[in-house]
Amino acid sequence: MTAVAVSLQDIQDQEICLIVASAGKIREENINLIKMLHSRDNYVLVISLNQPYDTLKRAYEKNGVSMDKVYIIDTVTKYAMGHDHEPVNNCRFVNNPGNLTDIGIAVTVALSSLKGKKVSLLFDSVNAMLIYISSQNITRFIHFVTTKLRLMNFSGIFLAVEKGLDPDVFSHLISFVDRVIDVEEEA
Amino acid sequence: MLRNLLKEQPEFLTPYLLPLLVGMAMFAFTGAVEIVMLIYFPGLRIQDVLLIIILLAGIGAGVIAFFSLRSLLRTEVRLDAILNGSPALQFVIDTDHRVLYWNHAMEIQTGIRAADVVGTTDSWKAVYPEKRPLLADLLLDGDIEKLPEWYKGNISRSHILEGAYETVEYFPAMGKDGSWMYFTAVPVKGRTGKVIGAVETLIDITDRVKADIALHESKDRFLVFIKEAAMRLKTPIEVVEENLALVMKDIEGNETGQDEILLQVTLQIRNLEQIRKNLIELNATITEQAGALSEGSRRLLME
Repeated sequence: MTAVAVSLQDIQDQEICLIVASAGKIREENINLIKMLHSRDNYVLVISLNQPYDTLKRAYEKNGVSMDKVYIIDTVTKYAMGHDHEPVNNCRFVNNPGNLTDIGIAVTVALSSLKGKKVSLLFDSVNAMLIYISSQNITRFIHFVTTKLRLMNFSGIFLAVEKGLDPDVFSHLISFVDRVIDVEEEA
Repeated sequence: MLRNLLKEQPEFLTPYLLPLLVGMAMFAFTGAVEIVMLIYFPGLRIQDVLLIIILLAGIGAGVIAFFSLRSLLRTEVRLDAILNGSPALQFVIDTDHRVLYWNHAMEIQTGIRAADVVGTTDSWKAVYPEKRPLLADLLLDGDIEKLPEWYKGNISRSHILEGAYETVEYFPAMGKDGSWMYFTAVPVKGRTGKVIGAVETLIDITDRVKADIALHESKDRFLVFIKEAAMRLKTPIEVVEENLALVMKDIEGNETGQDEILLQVTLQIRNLEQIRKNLIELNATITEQAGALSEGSRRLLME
């Protein structure tokens, strides 16, 4: 499915989607998607492998996104700063974006704490994760996360830049999701 | 001339015609000797003449037999030397599918001694666990249409020898890790064109096939490697480029605090460090495959 931007109708409850966008559109799509999910009264769990919490918070607030229904697993702040960030209620800082065990635990804890709510997971992004982890391990990790989401009846959105992925890896990712939405670059 | 004449005769006549001609020649020779002896030695008794004739005929027959036997033995020895000296596995069967020859290479490869198999129809034991016709058996019987059935379609006509066929088969139970065998067989025809047997040659091509498989696997591995390299180098560099472009935008917008800009730039530096580590990790895989490297090359790739 190809669209200029993801619309509300594209995302269904309890569905897992892979959204393919150009590298320049990923951040824009991140904000657009959170707004859409909030309009459905969804709580959004963001796994950020590219933007630090402070940058995301500023971008969300600037675009009118309420932080009340956002929980962020920030894998890069501690990694870049080399020391702990001051504690934040709606964020869990993971030491290293390459530490899949810690990220996995953070996801499990966060999802368990949100049980009973309408939750959507937003994974930003598969391409950024390739800086730290092999494609084989990324595929395994995404399989782990999608399985968890399905067991808990949560929806999930994975952001990726198709151009940056091997077609074999891409087809693996497609097999884990219900729908692929290709966001075209606007002319 | 006689030989040429004999060659022109139908084959079924040869075994009967030859003794008849020899008998007639001996009869003529006996008569001639008897006449000569009676003319030149009229005093000799007829018994003495007959004795001399028998003696001469015996000596003649002995000489002929000696040279014929020697020629036959030489041919036999030469044939044995050719078959047994061949590094290819070879055996020959007659029209009753009985083994005539079983060369030394066959003995070594199959563990079946020539003495145990010659004269039997057990040539299948060389490669199969159960009795079935071999390529030579099928060609001997002219069962060309059955070849695809027995060889699962993997059979072709030889480009070199007319009437010969060839195939390649894998035998998991043969050798240490199984063996790939190339088979070729051809019917052997007599002077008149009648099939009098078949010869089958087997060549162990396991090393060559393994080398081909290794080459294909190596190409596949290399493709997987360069795709992974593209994903772990090109894609991350694009991510960093895009992130730096966003940082520039934030700086230009003048809405972002210095601490946050610093954090974002630091993150991109860490990302670039990680990309360098990825490159070294990927290089390590290459250097493992490449074998010995000069110290300079090793440092360039690994540090």
